[in-house]
Amino acid sequence: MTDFNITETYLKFLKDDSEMTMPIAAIEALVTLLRLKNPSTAAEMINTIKSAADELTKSIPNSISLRAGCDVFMRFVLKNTHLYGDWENCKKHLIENGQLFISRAKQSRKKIAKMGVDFISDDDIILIHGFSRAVFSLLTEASKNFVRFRCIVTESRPTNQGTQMYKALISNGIPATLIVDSAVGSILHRVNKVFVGAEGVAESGGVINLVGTYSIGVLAKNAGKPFYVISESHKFVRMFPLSPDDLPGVKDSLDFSLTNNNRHANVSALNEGMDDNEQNDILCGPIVDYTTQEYITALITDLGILTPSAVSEELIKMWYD
Amino acid sequence: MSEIQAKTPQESKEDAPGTSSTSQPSSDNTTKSDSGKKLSNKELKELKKQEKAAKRAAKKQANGITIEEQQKIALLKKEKKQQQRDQQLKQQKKEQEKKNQKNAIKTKAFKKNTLFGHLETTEERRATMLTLTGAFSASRASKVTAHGLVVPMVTNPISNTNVLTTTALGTPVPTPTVNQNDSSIETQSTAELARSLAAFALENDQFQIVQGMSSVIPNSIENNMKNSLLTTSVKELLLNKDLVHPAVISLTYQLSNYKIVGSIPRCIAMLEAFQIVINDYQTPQGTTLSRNLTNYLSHQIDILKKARPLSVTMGNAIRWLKQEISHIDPNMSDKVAKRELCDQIAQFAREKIELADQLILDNASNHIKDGTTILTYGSSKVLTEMIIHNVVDLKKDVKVVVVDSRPLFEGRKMATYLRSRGVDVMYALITSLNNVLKMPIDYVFLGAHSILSNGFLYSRAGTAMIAMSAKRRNIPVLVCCESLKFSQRVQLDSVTFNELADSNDLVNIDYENPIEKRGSQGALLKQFIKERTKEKEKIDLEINKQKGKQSNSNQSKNNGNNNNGNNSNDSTDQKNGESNNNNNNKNILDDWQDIPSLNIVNILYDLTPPEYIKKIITEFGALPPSSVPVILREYKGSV
Amino acid sequence: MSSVSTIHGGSNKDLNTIVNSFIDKLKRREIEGSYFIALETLQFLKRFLSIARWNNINELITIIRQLGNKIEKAQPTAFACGNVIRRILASLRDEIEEEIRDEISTTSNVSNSTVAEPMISSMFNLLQKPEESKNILNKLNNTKSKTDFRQIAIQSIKDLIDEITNINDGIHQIAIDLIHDHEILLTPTPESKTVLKFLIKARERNNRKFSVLVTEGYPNNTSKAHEFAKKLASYNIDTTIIPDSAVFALMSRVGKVIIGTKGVFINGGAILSSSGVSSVCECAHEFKTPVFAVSGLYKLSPLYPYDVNKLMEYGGSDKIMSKMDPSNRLDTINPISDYVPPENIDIFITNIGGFAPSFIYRVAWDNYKQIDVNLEDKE
Repeated sequence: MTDFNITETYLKFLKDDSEMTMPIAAIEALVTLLRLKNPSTAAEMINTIKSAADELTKSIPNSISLRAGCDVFMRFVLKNTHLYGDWENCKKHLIENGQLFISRAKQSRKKIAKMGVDFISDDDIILIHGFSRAVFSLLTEASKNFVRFRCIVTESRPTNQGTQMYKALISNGIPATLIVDSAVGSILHRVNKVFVGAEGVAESGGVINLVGTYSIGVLAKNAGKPFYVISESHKFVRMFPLSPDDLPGVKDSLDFSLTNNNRHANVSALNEGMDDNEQNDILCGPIVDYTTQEYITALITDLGILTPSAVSEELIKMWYD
Repeated sequence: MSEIQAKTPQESKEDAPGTSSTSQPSSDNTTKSDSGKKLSNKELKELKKQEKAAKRAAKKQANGITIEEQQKIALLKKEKKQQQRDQQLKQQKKEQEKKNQKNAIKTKAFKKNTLFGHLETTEERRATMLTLTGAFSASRASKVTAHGLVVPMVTNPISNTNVLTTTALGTPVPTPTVNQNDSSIETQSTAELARSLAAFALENDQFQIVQGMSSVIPNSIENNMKNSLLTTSVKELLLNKDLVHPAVISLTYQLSNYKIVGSIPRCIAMLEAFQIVINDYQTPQGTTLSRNLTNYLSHQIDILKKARPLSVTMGNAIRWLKQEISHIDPNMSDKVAKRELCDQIAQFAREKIELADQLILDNASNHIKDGTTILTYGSSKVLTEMIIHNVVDLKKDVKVVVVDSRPLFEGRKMATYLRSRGVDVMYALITSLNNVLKMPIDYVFLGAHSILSNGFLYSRAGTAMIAMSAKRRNIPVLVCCESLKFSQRVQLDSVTFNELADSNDLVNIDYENPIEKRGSQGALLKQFIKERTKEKEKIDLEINKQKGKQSNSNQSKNNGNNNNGNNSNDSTDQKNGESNNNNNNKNILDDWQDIPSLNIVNILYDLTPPEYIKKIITEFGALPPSSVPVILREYKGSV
Repeated sequence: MSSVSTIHGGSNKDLNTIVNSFIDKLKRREIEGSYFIALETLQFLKRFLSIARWNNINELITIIRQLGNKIEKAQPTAFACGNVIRRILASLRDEIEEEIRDEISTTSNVSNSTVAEPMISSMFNLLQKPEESKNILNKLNNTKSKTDFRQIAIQSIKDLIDEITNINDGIHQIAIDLIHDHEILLTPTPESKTVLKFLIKARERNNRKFSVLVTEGYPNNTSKAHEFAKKLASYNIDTTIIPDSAVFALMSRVGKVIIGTKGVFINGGAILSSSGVSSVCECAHEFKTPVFAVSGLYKLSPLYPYDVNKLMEYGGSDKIMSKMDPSNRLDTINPISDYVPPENIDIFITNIGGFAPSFIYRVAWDNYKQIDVNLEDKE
C-alpha cells in the first residue's frame, strides 16, 4: 500500500473525467486513499488525510482549487469525528459514496445553470474570460432556453482556455468572437455583463481565477458593467489574500535575472519570428490572480445568488459551527 | 363711490405740495427732485409718503385742523373717531391700522433660507426695483407738475382697478429707441419729449400703475426694505437717479421681469442699450469723453445690477467696453468717438457671439454622425442651431433627447422647436434621467452660462447632475460655449454664489401651463390683492349693513382684479371662499409664506466640476476644462 | 387556477370570485402604497383560508403558492403581496419541520444521527448523506396531522399584521441615533409614510432640531411632496422644498439622505415609488453623503432583480407634456418607480435593526424559505 501516490491519483481522476473539477478530484483522491489505507482509529484517519492533503497541495503548482476540496473534506471529517464521535460511520459513508460526490458536483453545476439563466437576457453581449465549466453550462442552458445572446471570449493567455471556450461555444451554436486579452478595455463599453469562473472563492468573497480576471474586474467596475462570478460552492476556500498576487504557493513570479539561460537564449530570437511556445518561455508572471470583492456584483453558486459577504458567511459557518 | 375716489387723489395732489412745503421736509421730495441732498432723505419714506399725504390732505379737508394736530391724528385712536364722519376715510384708516398690526407679524414671516442667506432674494430685488420705480416716477411726476399739469400723485388703493383699465386702453407711443416694449418710459427720455407727450403719457404710461403701487406696496415687501445694507445701496442709486438713461431703465425692467433671458440675449440687449446711451451721451464741460463716459456708464450698470445679477457675458462685455473707452483719443471729437464706439460694440457682438457660434457649430458637428444620439439639458441657442444644422442642412440621422426640469421648462421650447423642424426628439424630465441614460446615448451636449477659470461649469441648475450621471456611465460630456462666457472668477460649490429665482414659481403644480415668467409687477399685484382682500373681509364684518353694501362693491371689483391677475388668489382664511370661487386651481402651498418653518428654494444655477466634462468647444477650438485659464490669459487681453 | 379548483371542489366559485376581485383591485391601483398592499393582502389571505379546503398540509402549501403566483403574475410590481405570502409560507414550513422533528424523535431512534444536523452548512451538501427527511414528509402527507394548520396560518397572519402596523416604532428607535442636532437631511421620497413618521417622531419625542430638504419628484409626486413639506413644517421642522434639479447643487450641504422604499431585494438594491431617487442617491454617493433607507421588514423580498427594466413602471405622457402638436408629437418617458442599486445605499433601517445592503440576503433568508422564492410550480 505504500506505493499509493496521492498526486498521481488526483491527476488520474482529472485526466479520466474531463468534467471533473479540481476540488472534486482532490476529494475523490482522498476517498480513494481512505479506502486503501482503511485507518483503524479516528486519529489515524485524520493524520492520513492531513498528510495526504499537504502532499497534494505541495506537489501541484496551482493548488488553490484543490485546496478548497481538501478543506471541505477535512472539515467534514473533523466535524463528524469530534462533534458526533461516530467516525466509523463517517468513514463508511465516505468510502461507500465516492461516486455520489462526483454526481452531486455535476448536479450543482446544473443547479447553477438553472439559477443563473435569469441573468442572461435577449440581445446581451457577454464577456467571458477563461474556460470554466460552470460558465459554460450556464451559457448552454441559456441557449437551450432560446435566449439570444452573444459572447466575447478573451484569448486568456498564457493558457489556451479562450480558444477552448470559443470552440465550445461555437459548436453549441452560441455566437461568439475571440479577442486578445489586451483588447478588453476597448470593447468593454459594448458589453452588457461579464462572466468569469473561479479557481477558488476567498473568504472575503473575492475570487481567485485565471490571470487577467482582476484587470477585467477593475475595468468592468470603471465602466459600470456588472461582473458576475459563477462558481460551485465547494470552491469556497479559507483564504484571505490582500493583493492580487498575495496567493499561497505562488512564488514571486517575476524574474528579473539576466542569467536565466532559457530566457537568455530566447531574447536574441525575439526579433525574429518565433512561435508561441518560445515566447511562453520568456514570459513570466503569475497564472492566477485574486480579484477583491468590491469588483464583484454577485456570485452565482449552487447555494443561490450570493453577495460576496454571503460567501464569508458560508465559510464562517463551516468553521465555527 | 368711484366719484369720491376719483376726486380724492386729485385733491390730495393739489394739497400735498402746500402741506409739505410748510412743515415736512420728507414730503418735499415728492415735488422737488433736482436737489441731491433732499433726495437722500427719500429712502423708506418714499414708500409711504404719498399715502400719508393723501390721508393728511383728506383729513385736513374734512377737519380743517392744523398740521400739529394732523400728526396726532396719525395715532390710531383718533382715527377711529373720525371714521364715523367720513365713510371713505374710515375705510382707509382701518386699512392703515391693519397694516400696522400686520407689520409686526410680517417682519417675521419674511424668510431667508439659512443656506442662501447671503444671496439676494427675489423679494429683496423686487423691493429694490419698486423703490427705484417710485423714485423715477416721482421725479417725472414733479416735472410734469412744474408744467402745470394735475398729476394723480396718490392713487387710492381701492381705485386700483381704474388704473388697470387705463393702462389697458393705452396706445403705443412711437419712440426713437430700439426697445418697443416699455416705450412710454423711453418717451420720457428727454425733457422735451416729456413735455410734448406728457398729457399723452399720463394716460397710457405703465408708470401709472407703478406709481399707484408705490403707495400700496404690500407690507411684506415694505419689510424687505428694513434691511439696512439694501437701503444704503438703494439710497446711493437714488442719489444718482438722474444720471440713469431711460433705455437702461427700460432694459432693467425687462431683465427683472425675465422678459429677456439667457446670458447671450441679455448681453446683446445690454450692448444695444449702451449704444443708445452712448449716442445720447453729452460730455459735460471740463472733462473728456474717455474719462467721463466710463463713469457715466457705471451708473447705468449699477441700476442694471439691481434687476438681476449681471451675467458673466455682460460683465465681460462691460469690461471690454470700458477698456475701449479708455483707449479713445481725448482729442477726438465726441461725435466721432461716439460713432466709433457704437461701431465697435456692433462688431464685438458680431465677432464674439455670431461668428463664435458659427465656429462652435462647425466644430461640434464633427462629432455627429449618422445614427448618433445626443442628450441635452434645458435650452441652448447654439446647441439648437447645431442640431438643426446637422439634421436639416447636413441631413444626418440624429436622435435628440431633451431633458428638462421644473420650474422653467426651457427644454419644452427647444424640444417643440426641434420637433417642428423634423428632428427625432425625445422629451424627458430630469427625474427620469436614470431611465434615459439606459438608452444608447453617444454624447451629452450642454450649454453654459459661464465657465470659471478653475474649469467649473456654471450653468442652469440640474446640469451638474446630468454631467455626473453621464460621466458615471462613461458617456462623454461636451460643453458648447463662447469664450465670452469665460470668467476670471473661481468658485468651488453651487451654494456660495448663485441666483435665487422666485420661490413662488414652485408653488404651482400644473402640467399644462408652466409658470409664466412673472415680473415684480404681477407678483406685486397678487400680493397686494391678497392683503387687501383679507383686510376687506375683516372690515366687512365690522362695518354695518349700509356701509357694507359699498364695500361689497369694492370687493367685487377686487375679484375682477383677481382674475386679471390671472393667478390664484391665496388666502388661508376659509371665509374667503367667496372671493376664491373663481379659482379652481388652488395649490397646496399657496400659503407657504404664512408657515414659518416652510421654505422654498429655487436656485437658478449650479456648478459642474471639471472632472465630469470631457471637453469644452469654443470658437478657439476644443479644449479640456483645465485649459480655461490658458484661454483667459492668452486671449482676454486682446478682447 | 384550474389546478386549485381540482383540489377543493365545492367552494371554488366563491374562491375564484374573491381572488379575482382582489387582483382587480390591485390592478386598478385601488390599493396604493406597499403598507396598505401588505395589509390588504393579509386580510385577503385570511378570508381565502377560511373558505379554502384542503386535505393535508402539502395541499395547503400548494394552494397558497398558487394564489401567490397568480397575484404576482397579475401585478408583478406589488412586491409586498408576494413578500407577505412567502412569509406565511415560511412560518407554515417551520411548523412542518417542527412536526417532522417531533415525529422522528417519537417514532424512530435509529435515524436520529442522520437528521440531527439537517443543515450544518450548505457547503457540506456535497458530502452529506442522502437526505431521508423527504420520505418523512411524504409520510406526513398521508397521515392526518395533529396540528391544525389553518389555525397556525391564521395566527401567523395575525402576527404579521401586528408586525406591519408597528414597524414605525422599531424603525424610529434605530434611526434616531443616526441624526445629529442641526443636521440637514434630504428626502427624495415624499410619498413615504415611514419617512414622514420617522421625521415627526424624531422632532417630537427626541426634540431634535434638524432641517429637511424635500425634492419635488416632478411630475408624479409633486403634490405629495408639497403636502409632505407642509406637514413637516406644521410640526415645526425647518422644511425646504427644492426642485429636482437643485439636488446636486445642495448635496454638499446635506448630512444624510433618507429614502423610503417600496421593495428591497436580496442583493441590497431597493425599488422606490418615486422617480429621480436613483439620481439623488448617485449624487449622494458622489459626495460621499450617507444614504439611509427606512423600510419595514415586510418590504424585504427574497427575489433577485435580474432585470431592473422589468421592474419599472411607467406612466402616461400627459404629465410630462399634455399639450402637444398632434402632427409633431414628441416621444416622452415617464417612469413612476426607480431602482437604487446597493452600492448607492449605505444602510437599511428596518423594524428589526439596521443592516448593510450586503447583509440583506441574510435577513431575507431568516424570514423566507428558499423553496418559496419561485412560486411557479415547475412540476
